[in-house]
Amino acid sequence: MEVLNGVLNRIKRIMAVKESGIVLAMLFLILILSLISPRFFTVDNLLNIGRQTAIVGIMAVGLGMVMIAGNIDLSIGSIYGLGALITALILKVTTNTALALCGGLIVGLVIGICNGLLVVKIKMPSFIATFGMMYVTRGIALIITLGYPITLLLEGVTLDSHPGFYFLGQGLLFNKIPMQFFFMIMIMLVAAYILHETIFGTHIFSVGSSERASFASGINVTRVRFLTYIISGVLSSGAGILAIAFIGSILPTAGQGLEFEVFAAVIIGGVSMSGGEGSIFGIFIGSLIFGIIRNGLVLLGIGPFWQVFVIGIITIAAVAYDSLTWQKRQERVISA
Amino acid sequence: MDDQSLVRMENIHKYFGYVKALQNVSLDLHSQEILGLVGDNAAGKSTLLKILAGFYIPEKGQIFLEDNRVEINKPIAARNLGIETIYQDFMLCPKLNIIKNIFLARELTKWGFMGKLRKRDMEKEARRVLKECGFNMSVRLRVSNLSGGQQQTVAIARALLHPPKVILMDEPTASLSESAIDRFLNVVKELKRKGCSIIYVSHRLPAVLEVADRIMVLRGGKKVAVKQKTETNVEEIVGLMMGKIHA
Repeated sequence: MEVLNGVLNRIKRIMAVKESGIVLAMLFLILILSLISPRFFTVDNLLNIGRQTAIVGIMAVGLGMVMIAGNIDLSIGSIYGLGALITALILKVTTNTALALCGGLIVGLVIGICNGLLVVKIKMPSFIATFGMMYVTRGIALIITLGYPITLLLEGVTLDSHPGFYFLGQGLLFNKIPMQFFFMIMIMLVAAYILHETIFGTHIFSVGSSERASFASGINVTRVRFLTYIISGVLSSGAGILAIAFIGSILPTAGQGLEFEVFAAVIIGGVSMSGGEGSIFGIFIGSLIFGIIRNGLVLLGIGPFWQVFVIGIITIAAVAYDSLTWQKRQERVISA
Repeated sequence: MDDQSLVRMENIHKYFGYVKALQNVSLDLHSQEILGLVGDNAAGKSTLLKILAGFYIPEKGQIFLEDNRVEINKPIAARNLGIETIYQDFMLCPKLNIIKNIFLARELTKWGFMGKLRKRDMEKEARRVLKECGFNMSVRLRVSNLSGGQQQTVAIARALLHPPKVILMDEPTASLSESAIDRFLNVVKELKRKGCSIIYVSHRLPAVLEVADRIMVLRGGKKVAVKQKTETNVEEIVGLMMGKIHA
């Protein structure tokens, strides 16, 4: 009897963890899709989902940090596009992989700094500031390319001439694990350490929970928010680099609308719209759920228009859930 | 100038746009003293306290701590000088747990800013300091799940984590029940006995008269009087606050 009580208490404790709901939702999805499609629950398909999830997952880490600190970053899709584009352009001109990777990452760094300055120094609402930067960044991509795509293979940057570059996007670790998935896992492990185990991480949560209380405690609120934008920018351009290394070709409009997919993954992962709450584990599961749904819809032969519709519905459901639980928490605080 | 001064604020001026919140206000806080700071609404008492807490920067004026001139241009500067503040609204992060709130901006780590948090040590210390404040609940609870009185206890515990020289209390009893106020006043007296100097801002004059050694009265952003507790009463203080009595 005592053993049974112990097990029940353990289950209750696990269920009390905020992420338990989305883990159950993910398991339920896997179960349903496995029953419907025999091709779903195979090692190759699961690894494929991992690869497909990587871009959204990496960007979700950055956006998640910004949102936990109580802000938003709408420019990540454009940073992704411009980061990939600049990487491709530098490769085309110099054929130097290291220079191209640095150039791509510097794009994210610079746009992240611009976002940070607009929000923390000029005190613009983050929605407006990053909305503006979304267009500025997209505009730069269109001006540079005159609207034409860049295809690396046509510019002499081939798999034979640049195997290292293409390995970043297309490579398989131990001949099995997609490099993109590996990068996502590594980035998430580092992010989880920073967010949950360091002073900086604690301050990201505190700033999102109460900016005034954080300032009164002596936290440099400006620095914390500024750094989250830099992290978000660099991770977004990093994701863009992985994308160009996978596809080998990039449109100046690449990443358009991607910010909303990332946003949906972050929200599904339990990051609060009002800041101060969330976890890297939740973001990981949120991104996976997103990838599973996309993959499942394809396997079931459901067209891309319906995919957009389903993603919209899931995002609304996740935000509604966050909003309703927030109201309940507020009621509990008021009645306490 | 006062030889016994632990904190001295001289000729402080503070404006908010065209509003003169403080005009040429000076304050002395003695060692191991409770100074009551009273005044009607908009008298400037919270503003004066927030200047000492580093929340506001005055337009003019100087601050001395133990006869050394100090610059308090942000809250961390005040905390580093041993000046802690208990705010009216507690200034806690509701979504963080008690441990993180108590250690906010003073977290223990193994190797600095990006080092691993020493969570066990922090929990142990948080338990110790809360026990001293008479709090026996789990330190892992989120602050949003606590009652007003419990949140105030957390705010006090945060101020006492590293024994401060000075504690600033801004309307600390505003959201407490009568019984909780009595308990809190005993805590204030105990803090003084342990060697803290306290500036106590409150609208509740009986409470101020109960704990304070001296009472400073502000009206319309100006200092109008400083009275020894033994030489005054509620009627006189109210008169000074309203401008019906002139010091």
